[in-house]
Amino acid sequence: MRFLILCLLLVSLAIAPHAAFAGSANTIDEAAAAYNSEKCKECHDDIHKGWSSSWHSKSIVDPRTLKTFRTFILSGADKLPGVKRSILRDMCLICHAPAAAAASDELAEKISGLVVTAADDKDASKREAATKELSKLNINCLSCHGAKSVGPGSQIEPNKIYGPGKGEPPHKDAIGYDTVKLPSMKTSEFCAPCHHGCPPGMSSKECPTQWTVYQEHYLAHGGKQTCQECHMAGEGGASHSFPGIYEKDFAKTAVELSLDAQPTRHFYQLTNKVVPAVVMNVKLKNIGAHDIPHG
Amino acid sequence: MTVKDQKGKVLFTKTKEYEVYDLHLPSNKGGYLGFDDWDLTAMTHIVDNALEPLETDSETYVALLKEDTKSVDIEVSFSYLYEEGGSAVISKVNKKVEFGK
Repeated sequence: MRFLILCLLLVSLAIAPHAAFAGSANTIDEAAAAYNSEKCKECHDDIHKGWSSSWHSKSIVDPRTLKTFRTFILSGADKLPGVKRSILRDMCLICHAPAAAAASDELAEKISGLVVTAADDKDASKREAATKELSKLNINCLSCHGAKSVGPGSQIEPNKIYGPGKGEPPHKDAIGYDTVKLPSMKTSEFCAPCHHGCPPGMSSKECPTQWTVYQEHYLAHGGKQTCQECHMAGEGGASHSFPGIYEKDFAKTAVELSLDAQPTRHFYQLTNKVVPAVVMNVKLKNIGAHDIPHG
Repeated sequence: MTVKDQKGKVLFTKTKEYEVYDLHLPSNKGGYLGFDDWDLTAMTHIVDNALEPLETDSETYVALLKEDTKSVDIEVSFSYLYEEGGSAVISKVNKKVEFGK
């Protein structure tokens, strides 16, 4: 398996099936209701635009994600006795679509069916309709700002907005939400639950994910920056477009490439011939916080 | 890396790949099929020559040229393979070296 192709998706997969997260929502609209972020963009238009261009905004409907989930369902869940398609919710959607945690088993199976349709159906209109429906479950504002943490075990709290504590807007007056300062939002640990995907204590050698590699290959070798300092740089340090290796301009910031080339001569002693030659030294330095290709 | 002479003829090329391959082997946890295909811990690192953070990789090459070579244009680029058939140049450096001056 070509690891680099899958790593962005795999990091958020848990290793063993979690306890089922069966909720009571029977429709996607019902499941998504608690994560309705429509109000946010009225005041945070720039941030909303940033998010719209981010991978978070297509965390379940990006074509690569859909195809990977499709394979997970068809080659994994459907082939193992006693395993239901709702396992997608428990293993993958806890991070890729937090709102799906509220889905009943029946809805979770329906969501898996929509994933297969969106990825594979021969009818483009059916693919489009399934994608549109699934897109209601993408990571949005409240996926990160609606709870004290993200990922497994995270629970959205009604009428609360968590922020890192930098001049919170008057949410109470505008929309009736309490604003709660959450300094941990500025730490890498905040991102870890979803960008990890390994059982606790498992090393990067056994389980190379964005998080284990960041810890063991970057921090352990003197790296100082947090996830947010690189991936949320710009826009006053609060960019919500979360650029990564897929954004070429951002990828450029992770490497330093240099070339030293000197003319010389080469002497063929057997033929008594001298020819020009060039000695070239190439240096590539990884100044990012993940392996290249990243784990 | 590509080295061309003053007429644009390619004289020398070199490619180095940084890659990680994780494969399932019969000896891996649970064998080939099922959820092991989604289990990072059930994979074996067959090839792991990724460039780690803060590491510098340095390579030196020598290109022997023809006697009438007046100059060479050297181009070094770093490309990222996003998916099969979909790579992009992330960084590029060019240098011209002249002889006989």
